[in-house]
Amino acid sequence: MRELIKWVIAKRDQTRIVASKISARERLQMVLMRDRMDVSPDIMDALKNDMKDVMSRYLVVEDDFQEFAIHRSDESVFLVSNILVKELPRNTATT
Amino acid sequence: MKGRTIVITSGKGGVGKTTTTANIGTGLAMRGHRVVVIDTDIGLRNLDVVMGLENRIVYDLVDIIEGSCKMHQGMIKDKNNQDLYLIPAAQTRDKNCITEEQVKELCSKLESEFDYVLIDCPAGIEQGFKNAIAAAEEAIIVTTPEVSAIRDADRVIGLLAAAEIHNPKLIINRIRPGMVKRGEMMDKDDIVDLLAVEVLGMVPADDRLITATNQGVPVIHDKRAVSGAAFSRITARIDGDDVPLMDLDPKTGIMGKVKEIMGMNRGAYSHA
Repeated sequence: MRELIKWVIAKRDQTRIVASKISARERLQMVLMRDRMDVSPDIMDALKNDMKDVMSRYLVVEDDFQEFAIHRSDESVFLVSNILVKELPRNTATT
Repeated sequence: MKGRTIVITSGKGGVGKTTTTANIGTGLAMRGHRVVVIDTDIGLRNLDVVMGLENRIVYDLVDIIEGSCKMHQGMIKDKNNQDLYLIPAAQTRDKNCITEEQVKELCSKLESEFDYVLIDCPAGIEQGFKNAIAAAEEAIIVTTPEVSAIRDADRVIGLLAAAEIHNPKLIINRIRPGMVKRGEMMDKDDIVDLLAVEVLGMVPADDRLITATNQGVPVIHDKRAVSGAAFSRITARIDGDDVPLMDLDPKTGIMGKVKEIMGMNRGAYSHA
């Protein structure tokens, strides 16, 4: 009988160890991080065009970027892009 | 002096926006201010029933905006408060029949006559939301301690910032102190950590709020209701008083229970 009571108490404590608010918090942290990092396609397009404009002041670049996207690791966000430079104008090196 | 226009919003539906609007509006009027509350949930009006004014509606928000009636004809005076008015939403129209510009124009007229213009925002983030926030300079976000409501609140905070409405204040509704104590519900600190906004107040889940709403009387009139006391404090804070957040620790022990039953525990829930 004593064993049974012990078992019941142990079982109850086991399930109580992780209170449900902890999992609510953790899930929210993840989901909010992801939500906040979502950049709308419009913004991405605008950013891409602005970058192209700035770069073409110095370089001749290919119109279509080979890669242009936001990448995420656990802690950080990266803007990853691969842009083909077609020509380096002579004055770029001298100034 | 120009009045303050405040939008009450949440993203998610059913978290208590309308009840909050009714109670804050009533609370501010009880403090001697001239207040108008506007229901912008066109097609799904509810603020009228929460305030118990559903039988007095003749004109609505769309009538005022379209000029089918004068502004003052479309404002319904509250049953208990001389200085509280409601502009109800249209029930048989669609949210696209008014524009953000029209809402701005109406609110700037109201601001010259009232101390507070409170806007009850519809759920969602579409045109109805945009109309509701168009004229607001300040925002109150209502959430509950649930994952879905907090996620939507975060989204709305971002959208408000994009619309140049900064530093929104948060009301955490339907907190259950017993569950918080057992670690089964997120508390104020958890939510502040996640959303990084200032808390304007916490409202405990309260049966008396439901009975008050059944009767069409904002619960802030009920001196024995813990939720009413919470709304009193929130109102005082909006009005600039420095009132501490409510102590929601559940009263334990036999004497605590007895006192609670006898209504002697009101000290803990005192109205501001």
